[in-house]
Amino acid sequence: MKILLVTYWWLTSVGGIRTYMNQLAERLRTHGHEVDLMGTDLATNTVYVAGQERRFAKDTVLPLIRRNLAGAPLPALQACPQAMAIESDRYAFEMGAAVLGVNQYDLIHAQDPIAALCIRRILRRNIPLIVSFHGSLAREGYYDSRSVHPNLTWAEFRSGTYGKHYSSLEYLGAEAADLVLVSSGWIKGIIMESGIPEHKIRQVPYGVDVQAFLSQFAVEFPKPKPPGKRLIMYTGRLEYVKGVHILIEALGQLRQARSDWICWIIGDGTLLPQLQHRSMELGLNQNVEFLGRIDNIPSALKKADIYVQPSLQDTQPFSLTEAQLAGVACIAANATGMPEMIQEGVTGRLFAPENPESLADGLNRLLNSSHERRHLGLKAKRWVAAHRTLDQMYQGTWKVYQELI
Amino acid sequence: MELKVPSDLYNAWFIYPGGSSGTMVDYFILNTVAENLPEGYLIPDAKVMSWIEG
Repeated sequence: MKILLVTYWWLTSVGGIRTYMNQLAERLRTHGHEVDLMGTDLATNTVYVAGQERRFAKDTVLPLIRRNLAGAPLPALQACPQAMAIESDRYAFEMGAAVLGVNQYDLIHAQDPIAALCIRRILRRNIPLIVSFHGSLAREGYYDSRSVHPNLTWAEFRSGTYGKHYSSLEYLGAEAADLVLVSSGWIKGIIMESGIPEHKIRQVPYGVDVQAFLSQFAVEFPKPKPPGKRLIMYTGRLEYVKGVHILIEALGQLRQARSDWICWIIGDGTLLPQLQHRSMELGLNQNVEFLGRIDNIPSALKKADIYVQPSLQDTQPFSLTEAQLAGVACIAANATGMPEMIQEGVTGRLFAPENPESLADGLNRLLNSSHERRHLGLKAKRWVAAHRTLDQMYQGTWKVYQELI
Repeated sequence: MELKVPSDLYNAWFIYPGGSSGTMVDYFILNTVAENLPEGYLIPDAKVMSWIEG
């Protein structure tokens, strides 16, 4: 079969979605299928298929599209820069995808609702279309707005044009697909709340390539852990929705109680300067280090005593699964998809979301007991190795594909 | 490729045609796009606009 995995967003970024696409493509290819990955190159703003030369420069059509939308009787759209930007850009993406070609595939698996909606609008024949929801677009837009307007409520966001726009793309993208694929019960509930019927949704959890993980895990991470200190770790993007600012506040409180710990924050993102500044303000220079991006996260996890997933919203973060597979005691926010990954007191701990005091208490408790850390880490590792393998994810996904072919 | 003129080309995509004077356009690229888009393709997407504009 010829299969297209397509995202409206940046194919060139690192992160969970690109990992998912690569791993799924690799498995499909080993089973004899031809797989293309389509998306946008952020650096050049071109639509492209990975490994192919042809590219479509969105900038060749964007001026015309923007001019047309600006002159149309669409006052609400024109008054909202975020909606104007995405609407203009997604039509340019549609044109690029159409020129590169989408009608030659036997099945198309969109990785976000905007891609699903775009693809449905340009298809010239009936091709099975699946859409994966790796998160909630509307809620991500909300957290994006909240990073600038901290008191903005969800209801206020949804009643504005930005909120209406993102909600429409989310619903219409799910409606455009033949089946909706999700990894968590949380995101399934979100999609059903929007009006998509349950019979259209399939749940297949993400998986980890355990063998590849263990190979990386076996490598010694070059940075030594300071002697006599327990290591708290976070790995992932430094964006508002990931809640690392909550972790920094919690560490500020923890430092007042004890100093037998350090924290490595591994990753990069737009919030880095803010987090570094706040860390300095809280006097955490000796306790918190920002390591930037690294190549081998499993080897770093080997040094960790505690892993924190402080996200405001996350469907099923790979970073948390990897920490559990590394046998590290994990504590995550009790919000959205994260509680489905942790059995409280058995495979990890949960803290009240967006609550630094609750996180500080949780960290304090874990620091107090090496026995509890070992117990939680071991149970989590066994559970992930038994229930969250890449093979299980592939088999589940292939079963969904088979419903449509 | 026989290059079409604007009125046969991208004006057909736009629900509210506004022309292109003063805007840089590449006719070859736009004709390539036109050859690959399905019949009835329209900008803006009416379904999305009904959510935004009410």
